Amino acid sequence: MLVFLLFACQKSEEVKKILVFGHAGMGLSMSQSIYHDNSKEAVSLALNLPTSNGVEVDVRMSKDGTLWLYHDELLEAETNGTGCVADLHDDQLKELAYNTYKKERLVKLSDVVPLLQEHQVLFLDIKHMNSCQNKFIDFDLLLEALNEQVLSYSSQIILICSNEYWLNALTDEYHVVYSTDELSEGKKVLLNHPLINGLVVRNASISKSDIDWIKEQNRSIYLYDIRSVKGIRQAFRKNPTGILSDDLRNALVERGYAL
Amino acid sequence: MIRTFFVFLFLYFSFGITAQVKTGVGTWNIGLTYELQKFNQFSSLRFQFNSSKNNQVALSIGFSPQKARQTVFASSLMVDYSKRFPLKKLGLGPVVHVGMDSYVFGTRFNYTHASMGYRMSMGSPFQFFQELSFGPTLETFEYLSQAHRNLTWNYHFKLGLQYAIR
Repeated sequence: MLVFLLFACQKSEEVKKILVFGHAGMGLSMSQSIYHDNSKEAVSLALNLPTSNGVEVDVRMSKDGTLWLYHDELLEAETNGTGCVADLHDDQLKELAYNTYKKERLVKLSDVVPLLQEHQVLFLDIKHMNSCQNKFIDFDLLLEALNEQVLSYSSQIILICSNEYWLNALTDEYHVVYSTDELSEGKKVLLNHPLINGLVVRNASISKSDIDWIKEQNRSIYLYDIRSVKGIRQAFRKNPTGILSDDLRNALVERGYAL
Repeated sequence: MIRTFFVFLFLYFSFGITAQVKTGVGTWNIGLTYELQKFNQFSSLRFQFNSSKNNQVALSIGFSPQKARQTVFASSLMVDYSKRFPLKKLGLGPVVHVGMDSYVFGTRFNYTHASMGYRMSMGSPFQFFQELSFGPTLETFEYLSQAHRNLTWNYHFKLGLQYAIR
């Protein structure tokens, strides 16, 4: 019994060190979210929950080179607009709202960055494709936009990049993690790019031993696609660096007081 | 959750076979309720007063087993009024709820609910009932000297079993 209690306490101390972030605000396509993913309201709520370590948002660049928060490829999927963010000007994007009864507006990245508290981190999932034109967005313009709009917060920002060719240029100024669905590819990228901080992978695609291997390389590992209490517990048992949870309230409570 | 659902489903059909609704005037029922809603799940102790044959007022006091497993105590207090129209062995009618629940994690989170829906009941003196209602929920909490108020739509799905005290 004593051994069990000691083991339980030790395990709980490990869990308390795991960082917990809101995925796309308060969760992606979750009924508990109250606010639409990537809206200013959702990000604000996620950053204001007690013990929250921060939030992950999806970033797309407009035709004017401004960074906006939006997850999907096409605007008609979630808003009253049509087309791609990359093909619209800022004046057009600021008129758009999500198709919800709260009608949250699309928001610029520069409007949510100041919401960060000192100890919190903002993950920016850089969406690098313009699906309407079927081509990559201009990398130089993206880097310019990042430096202009969030460089002063770079110590609190981690870029999530799924384009291996952009990694080296991004690591000059920012913390960068590589996002992939294929763990074997992720491991190769870690070995080929010594300056990147780690990986972001789906919870279901990775085992505890893989996580241990990544941590042995002195890299960070963040898990996403964690939508239920069961999923949160399963992710915590693997002891990653952090999780991007779709149910932030329960993830924070499950971890317990970490501050 | 699935296990609870099947237990209640079994009870539902068991009572359905022999049900004879005999809700008396001025009588009391005491029972247990399981409630599923947007943010939480609650198990409640329910006290129902039958003010007339088909008018019922109830008070439910509950806690969340899910939050308890997370070592957080979440309590709930809910009042409901329902009207019952007998349809053979079934009782079916509208129900109105008001109530609140809260838990403390870093700060106190309060949820205030109001909802309307239906209640279906069956059996006597043991009565099984099932409810579904919809309405607004206001989440309020204060953290780092900042007050937060978030209004959202919510659902309340309830299963209950109660006994008539004669």
